Amino acid sequence: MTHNQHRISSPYIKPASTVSGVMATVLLALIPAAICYTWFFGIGFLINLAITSVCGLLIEALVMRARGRPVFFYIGDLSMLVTAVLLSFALPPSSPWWLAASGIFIAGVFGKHVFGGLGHNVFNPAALAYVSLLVMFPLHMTGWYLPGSGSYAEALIDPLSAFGIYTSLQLSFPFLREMALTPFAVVPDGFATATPLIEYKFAAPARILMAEDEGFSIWDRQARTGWEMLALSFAAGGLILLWQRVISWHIPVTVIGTVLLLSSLFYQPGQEAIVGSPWLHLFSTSTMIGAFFIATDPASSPSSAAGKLIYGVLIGTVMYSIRIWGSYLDSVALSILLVNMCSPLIDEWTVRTHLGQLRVRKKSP
Amino acid sequence: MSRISRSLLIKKVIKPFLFRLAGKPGWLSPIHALPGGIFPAPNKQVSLQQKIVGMPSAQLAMPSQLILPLKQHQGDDAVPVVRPGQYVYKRQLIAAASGHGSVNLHAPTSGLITAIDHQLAAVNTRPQPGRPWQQSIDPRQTAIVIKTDGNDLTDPELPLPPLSITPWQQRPTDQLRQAVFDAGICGLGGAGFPTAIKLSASSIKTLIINGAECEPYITADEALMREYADEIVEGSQIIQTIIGAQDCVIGIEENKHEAIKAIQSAIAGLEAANPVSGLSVVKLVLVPAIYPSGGEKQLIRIVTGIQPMSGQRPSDVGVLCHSVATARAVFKAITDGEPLISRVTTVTGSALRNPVNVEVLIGTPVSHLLQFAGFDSSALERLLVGGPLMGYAVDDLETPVLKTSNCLLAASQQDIQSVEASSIPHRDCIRCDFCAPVCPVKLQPQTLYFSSRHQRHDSAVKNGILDCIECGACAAVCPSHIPLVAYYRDEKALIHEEADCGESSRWQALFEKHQQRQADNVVAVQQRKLEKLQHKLVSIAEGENPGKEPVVESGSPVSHKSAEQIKREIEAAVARTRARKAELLSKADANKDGGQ
Repeated sequence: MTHNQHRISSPYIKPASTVSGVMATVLLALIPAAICYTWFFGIGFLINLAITSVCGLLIEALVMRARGRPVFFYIGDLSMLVTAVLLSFALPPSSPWWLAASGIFIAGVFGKHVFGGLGHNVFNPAALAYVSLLVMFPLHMTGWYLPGSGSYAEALIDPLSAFGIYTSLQLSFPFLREMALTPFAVVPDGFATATPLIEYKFAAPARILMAEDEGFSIWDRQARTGWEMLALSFAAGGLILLWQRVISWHIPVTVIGTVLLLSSLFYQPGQEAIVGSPWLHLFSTSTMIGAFFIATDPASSPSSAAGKLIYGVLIGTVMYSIRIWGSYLDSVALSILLVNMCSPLIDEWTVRTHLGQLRVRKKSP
Repeated sequence: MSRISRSLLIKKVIKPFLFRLAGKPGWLSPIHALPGGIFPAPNKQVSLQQKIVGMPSAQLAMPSQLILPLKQHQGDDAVPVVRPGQYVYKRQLIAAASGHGSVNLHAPTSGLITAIDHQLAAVNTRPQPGRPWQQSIDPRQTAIVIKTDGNDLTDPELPLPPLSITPWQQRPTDQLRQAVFDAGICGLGGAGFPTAIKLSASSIKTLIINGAECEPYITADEALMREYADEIVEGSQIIQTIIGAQDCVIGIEENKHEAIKAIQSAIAGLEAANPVSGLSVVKLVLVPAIYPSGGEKQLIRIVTGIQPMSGQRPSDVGVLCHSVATARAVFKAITDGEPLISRVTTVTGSALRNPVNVEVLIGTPVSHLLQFAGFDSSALERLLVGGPLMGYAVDDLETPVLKTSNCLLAASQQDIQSVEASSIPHRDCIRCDFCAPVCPVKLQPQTLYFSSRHQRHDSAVKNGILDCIECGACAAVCPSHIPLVAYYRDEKALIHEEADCGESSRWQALFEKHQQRQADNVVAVQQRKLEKLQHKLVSIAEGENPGKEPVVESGSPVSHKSAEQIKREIEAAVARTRARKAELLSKADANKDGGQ
């Protein structure tokens, strides 16, 4: 086929959008969440972001060179940056630099290019990288800092203080500690606090909710969990994507709807620490980034509207099951990876009936 | 997504419904929502600034020569009935319809025939030519060339057509249909299907006159409706009479306000003129301004809610669709006896200083019109015949205007994607699914793309590639800039080729193989018999007893014969078998020859 070279027939109209434009919209929609994440969790996120972006672009360039494709043309689609940002959100802000670097390597090479590059990937690269890291480096991947838990670490990562910035840098680049430049005496190796999603899955957030009932303000960084603000900012970014029509409503609505439905069905007042309240399920976990940004990855999700609805319901169900009855730490990435595997099959099932198609299947003699 | 936003429920369903509730004229009959569609920037105002310019007029001179291809329609070529050097008058028949789906061709003006076998340069050059279903004229088209004398003379001996003397209402429909056929009218909307064939359809319930000119830049129909609304409405009535349709509906896009007003007043005038007409009145229906609401099946669906099945013609479901330009051509042919020698064409684009609608003689070289409209060749990116979504590119500026050319778009970089940008390789499909919601046939374009790209014909056909109308909406919203329509066209071409020759040659080959095998079998049987007999003969010659010992002893007929007798019999049998074998072989050879 020669069309790779020339547009030889109609339409000649200027195309309405570009791949890089779409990816740039996704990046813009992630800005609120990025600000929120930095505000609550320190500049460790920005450091991770810098590492994943630079390494990601390098990996993309090397792979494209190895595949004999024009390097800058393919880097220009910005898809690697989207993967880098999404992966950075999934990494603990206090993680060492090599965690981010190996994560983006897995995402770029094993998540994307072994399948043939952008558009051919079976799994979402960021989710795949996150789960791989979780399996390979469980200790590093669970070292989350929990804001508002009242631990000493709070002051250390304040993004507005020099001490907080320096601590974050040291956590990311451990060799800095070896140099005789430490102006502060005590710098921790990492934080081993509870995440919202380890064995005591909902215990900590439930505690925070109770604290909130006792009169803490939402906007007070010390008192309020950053998870909820982060989830809200992801939802805001998702609405930007919906408004710009980069994603369709089907997947986010069904994922969130299913989680909401199941968590309401199984909700027992007073048992937040075990099954979690619907609010906890939606806003104290990574449901929002999953529903709006990870599950909607076009390449690994079904293409028809009906298929997207099935896909979303499946993701929501699997996510809730893993959270309540499963023993794994992160339900969102796992459920999305699981259901990603089903999307070719879903696509097969939900072939669109076009206009004028003879509907003989039902009335076959 | 700013320039081509995707379809909105409000525009397609809610607004028409509210207008209908409010009793807005034109919205009174229910319309049905079209799935998909896009809203490209219309860019129509530029060419509507002034009225339609006539062809020999004070502003626009006659071109020095007219090039008239013999095939400007779907169907067989017309056959020239003039010879080089002959003087022809205006409206004189120069090529007669011959064969299936052919239409007549008339001289647009008076002048000398200089050639009847002029070879046109290839248009819209493709890697694999010879695909008649593609929307462009074939390469190496034969054309008649007329050197105009500028007098624009009509033959003084040409009798006035009888229909122009008697009002058309009092004529039998057969005569009217014949008059349409004689006038050489084909669909002026773009496809060029012979109108006379369409008019012979029976049991038509609804006639739809298509004034929904949805493609950007094209304003030929809109200008026509503004200025010749009476003729269009009367032409619609003529068509309605011929086919005996119960309803006649003119569908116009809701944003063409002046055209709507003109058609409304024309309908009112007609009603006032014959208050007790046996015909039902022509109805006006407004349709949402969405591309491609003006497609034939799309408009039928919007207006009547009927969806012709795959492979069905609209006439199979009792609907007929004609463009407003065709209605006017029918009007002129019936009332005035004027054959189709001119049409209204939009000459527009940013490479022109003065975009305009021209009533142009068929066969006028494009360069003549461009010159008139203030052509700036340095700004030209591509010259398109038709709009930017469904038109085809023309390299040669001497290309003539055809009966089907509704627009000449001298496009600069502002109007279309630049040649440079379109020649870089496209990105891979990211399966973003922007294409499926805009498809007016509810296809899944990305599935079709993968099927076409990998030439999986079964999958392509199963997913409905043959129902694709090639409107280009999917390609217009594709962020990877994949020329989807080009892929579909190639795939359709391959499917057609396979259906045309691939299938039949496969069966032919199977049949021949089968025949060959049968012949071989028969020959082999004879061969075996022959060998057996020869073996017997040899054994007899050696003095052994033929057959087995016990058989001889039990007193079989063989035992009563002498060895000589048996030998003779066997020799005769061998000769018979040899003859039979030779006969069969020669027969098989003859079969083979016949097969080839």
